[in-house]
Amino acid sequence: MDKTVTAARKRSPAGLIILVLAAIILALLPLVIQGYWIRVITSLFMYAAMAEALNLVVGYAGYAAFGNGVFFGIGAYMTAILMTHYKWGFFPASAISGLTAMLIAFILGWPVLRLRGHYFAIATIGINMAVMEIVTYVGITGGGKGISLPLYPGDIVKQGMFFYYSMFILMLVSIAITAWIVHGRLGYGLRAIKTQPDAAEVMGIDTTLYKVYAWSISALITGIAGSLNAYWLTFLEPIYVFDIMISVEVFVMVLLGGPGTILGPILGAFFLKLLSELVWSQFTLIHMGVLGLIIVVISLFLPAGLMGLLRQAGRWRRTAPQSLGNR
Amino acid sequence: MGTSKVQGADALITLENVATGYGIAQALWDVSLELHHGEIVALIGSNGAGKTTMLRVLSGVLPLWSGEFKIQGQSVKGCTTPDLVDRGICHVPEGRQLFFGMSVEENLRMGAFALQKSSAEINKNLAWVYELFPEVARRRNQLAGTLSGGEQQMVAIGRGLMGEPAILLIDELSLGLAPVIVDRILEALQVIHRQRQLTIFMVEQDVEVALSIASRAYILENGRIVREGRNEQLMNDTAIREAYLGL
Repeated sequence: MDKTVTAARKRSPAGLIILVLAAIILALLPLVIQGYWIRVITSLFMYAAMAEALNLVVGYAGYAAFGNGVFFGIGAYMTAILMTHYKWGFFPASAISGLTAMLIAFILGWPVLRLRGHYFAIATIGINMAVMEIVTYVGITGGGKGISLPLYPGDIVKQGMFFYYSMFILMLVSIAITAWIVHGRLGYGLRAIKTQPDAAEVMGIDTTLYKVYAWSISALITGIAGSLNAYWLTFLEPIYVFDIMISVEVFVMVLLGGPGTILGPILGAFFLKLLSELVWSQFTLIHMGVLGLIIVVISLFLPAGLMGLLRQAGRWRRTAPQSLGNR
Repeated sequence: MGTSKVQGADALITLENVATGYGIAQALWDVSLELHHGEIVALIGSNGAGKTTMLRVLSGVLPLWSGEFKIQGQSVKGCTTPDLVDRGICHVPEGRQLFFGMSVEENLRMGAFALQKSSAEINKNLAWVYELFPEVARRRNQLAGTLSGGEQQMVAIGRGLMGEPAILLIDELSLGLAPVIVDRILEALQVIHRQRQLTIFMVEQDVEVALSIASRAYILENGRIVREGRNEQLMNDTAIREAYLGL
């Protein structure tokens, strides 16, 4: 009789098989696609990694980090500066960019993560705007005119492959990090903080420290995404990389896919990006309007996102043969 | 096992002339209190008397404005909550505050979060909690939010016990629960007390509930302790009977 409410989640082997298959297909995809679609899927991986990173803060810790795009911009600019002014290679520059984003999140986290709810969301937007202003008016970044990075050595096909697989690996790493966190102390601590911050504290969880950890890891992944993106596009402008719409779009991906689930944000990113590529690119003028509409629809009808919908569908299928009593 | 009640000798917890509050609003004035090893002590008071504030002081959530807070004679003034959890203080918060997204078992395991113990020892404690509350054991894989209020209170207490505390602070145990459930939980607390010589400090509005298992009680009114005494002294005090028991 307790069956319907028994909600202890068990990992189904079927889910894992689907996941591995999907990864293999994506890894082999460049054999059959090229040019435009390689670029589309590369950016898809990038957004998926950023959504997964944001999910740590939004989905698990329950903090509406609305300005997480700031770490994307910081990662991008750090890489640009190291590669152009100091002639660093890409990989060390990228590593330092990720770590810089992480360090900034770690330092800002102590004051900012003490705020709750709307105050935190607004503070993160403020940080994004402030950093954009600083980057615009500082000489080393090239200011408002932007900055150009060295080109990836090699032909255009090799270049496409490099970024495709780099972003792909970044996405896989972001999933692996999330899975590792969720099943460990940090994950339990974050989930406790999300539901009952006061009770979490009296359990002996250092709540501020845990939130700072989550935000820092989130910033690290986002910073590396920004770094890769900078090298990929080879040209940066403050108004492009610090665009608040990057934060908003990634946020919508998390909500759409299912905050607080490991694969939800990935699903949300794929869904939203492909949809925008296939449909809205034909109607650029109403793009923003449709995005707004999607936000409204998700919050009204899909509070647990696509993952919630999938879970619900699974439950219906399992309970359908029995009578509809019990609930 | 007789616990000596010599003043100050074996006090587990001491508050001396404590004042505190929120922002500029003072909530406690000149509060002094002592809890000894293995005692069950109640804190009684009406709404807004400062009972929960007192627990927030004891669990380190609220800093002191003035006065002294000691555990086993050592000052812990200014210690953070995780520090105090390390020293054996466990707060079972008002309204249970379970982690609703987690199963009953996950909630209980969260109680051992700060504990540096092997999983075998943690599992032993888990088995003990299930033995104390078999009704909870049956629902170990259910989400905590699907439990009844009484079962949730049992999980909240169980979660507290998982941290192997030296002292359990329980806020408004009886709030919103049927009397028969309250009796069931009080019975379990007495078993816990007997088996582990745990010190229990319970905050209650319901004086009958409080005095049914406590050996001593403090009475808080408007942020000050106005009376303290042994169970039977207070039970026979006409002023208290009139004010709190309605007899």
